[in-house]
Amino acid sequence: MTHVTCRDLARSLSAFVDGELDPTLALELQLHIDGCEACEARVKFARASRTSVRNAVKSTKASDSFRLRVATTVAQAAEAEKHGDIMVSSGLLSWKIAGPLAAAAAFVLVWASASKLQERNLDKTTSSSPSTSQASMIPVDTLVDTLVDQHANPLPPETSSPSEIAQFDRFIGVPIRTVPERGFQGQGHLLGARMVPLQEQRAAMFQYVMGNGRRISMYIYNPQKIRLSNSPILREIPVRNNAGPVYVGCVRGYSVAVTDRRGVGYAMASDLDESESSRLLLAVGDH
Amino acid sequence: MSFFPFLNRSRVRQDTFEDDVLSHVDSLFATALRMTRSQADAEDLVQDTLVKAVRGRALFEDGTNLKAWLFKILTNTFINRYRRGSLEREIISGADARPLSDGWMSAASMRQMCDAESQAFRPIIEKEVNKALEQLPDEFRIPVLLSDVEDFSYREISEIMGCPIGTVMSRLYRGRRLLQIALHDHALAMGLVKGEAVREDESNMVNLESYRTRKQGVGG
Ligand SMILES: [Zn+2]
Repeated sequence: MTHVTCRDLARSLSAFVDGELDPTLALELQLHIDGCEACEARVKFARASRTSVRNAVKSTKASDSFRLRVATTVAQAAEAEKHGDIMVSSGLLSWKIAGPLAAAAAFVLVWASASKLQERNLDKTTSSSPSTSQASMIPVDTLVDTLVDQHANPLPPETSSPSEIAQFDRFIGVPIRTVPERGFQGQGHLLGARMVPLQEQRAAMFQYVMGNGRRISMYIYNPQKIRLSNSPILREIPVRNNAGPVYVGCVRGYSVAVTDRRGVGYAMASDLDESESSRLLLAVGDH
Repeated sequence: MSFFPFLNRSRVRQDTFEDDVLSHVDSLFATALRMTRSQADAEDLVQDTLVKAVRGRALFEDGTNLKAWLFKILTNTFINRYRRGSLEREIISGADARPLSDGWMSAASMRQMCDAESQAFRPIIEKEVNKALEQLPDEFRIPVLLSDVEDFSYREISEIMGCPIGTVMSRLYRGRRLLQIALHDHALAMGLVKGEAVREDESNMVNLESYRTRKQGVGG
């Protein structure tokens, strides 16, 4: 057993008071506190401050009028959700400028043709554009990791309003292209979008649900800030049309694909397996 | 009755989900008020959070912590609306520039502060705590609220805020220290504590500690 000092306690004080320490260490600290007046005062003060914050904040209650209002709103939202009205009433299906949806469709198309190419064992490698400054770039694995994390533990979208989403442009630094609606032939719904931090950058994240309940999460970001080459978790697949290569992989059980198209970065994580995605692609290719 | 147990069960779950969600209104509102510093904004934030939760119910995993999920939606909605999706760019100045070592206050002062907090001064302290909370930068205030008020674990806070546990710990450490400094200054001004000089053994301990803290770059 190591000898516990006042310094050890000072360093672990917060975690000790929060009960987040390993029990053995907590016990050792407690033994020290029992024999040290200064540390005893420290712990008491930390606990008292914690209680003061709690009391001060907990004394706040929502007003009755707000409680009533929010209960009504929640009931309405739940009712609409039950009858499936929400998709229509909030304009998710009739959205006129579902650009990202169309972009996603186009992207999935590229993704699929890339898979086909790979099956046929075409190994023509396209040279990726020369990277300028590699410093301050975010490795693509970091991006993929964050994306898969947010796909696996999803939050409801921040907004489904086209005008609010249109404003994301200036924060992520690339245009979210506005293309006429009609993607996935009614099979997929755009739930909405949110902005997500990517180290110093920001990306826009779009969430889709397919008819079969499978989900797609897609980032749109400024590709100049992401280092695409040399990823240990993604493999590069050359693509026949003039678009850049597509990087695909499987991360923690989710399909992942990343590409740049016309100066915009797209990264996608989904629950779809290969046959589902090809079915989806056929539908997209139809119109 | 039990011909369709599956349907029944899902029906029951749906009915109670809204009730479960609504049972957290007070907690969410109290935190939202400290985030936005405005009653109207806090009400909007809570209403948004609850509507998103109900609409996104399919994304909630049964059997996991609903309260933590709601606070995650609340926090993310706040950060998205007021900070454009990121907590990382706040400029730290003012009180945080003061030394954050452990020996800024003597053991005697700490004891006096405890007495003050537990006795007749509680309403004054409460008012002062609210003022001090208001002045904390968002990235410190949010973890302090989640830990001190809602008793979320470090792991839950890291999930709610979307940052590593180490970041949660250092933000909690600094946030609490800033709060304690503000409270101590106030108690001094009110004559609740005498502000004895820090004893030498205490300050020695602390200088070493602050040196090491700086060296390890704790507190980012
Ligand atoms: Zn001690």
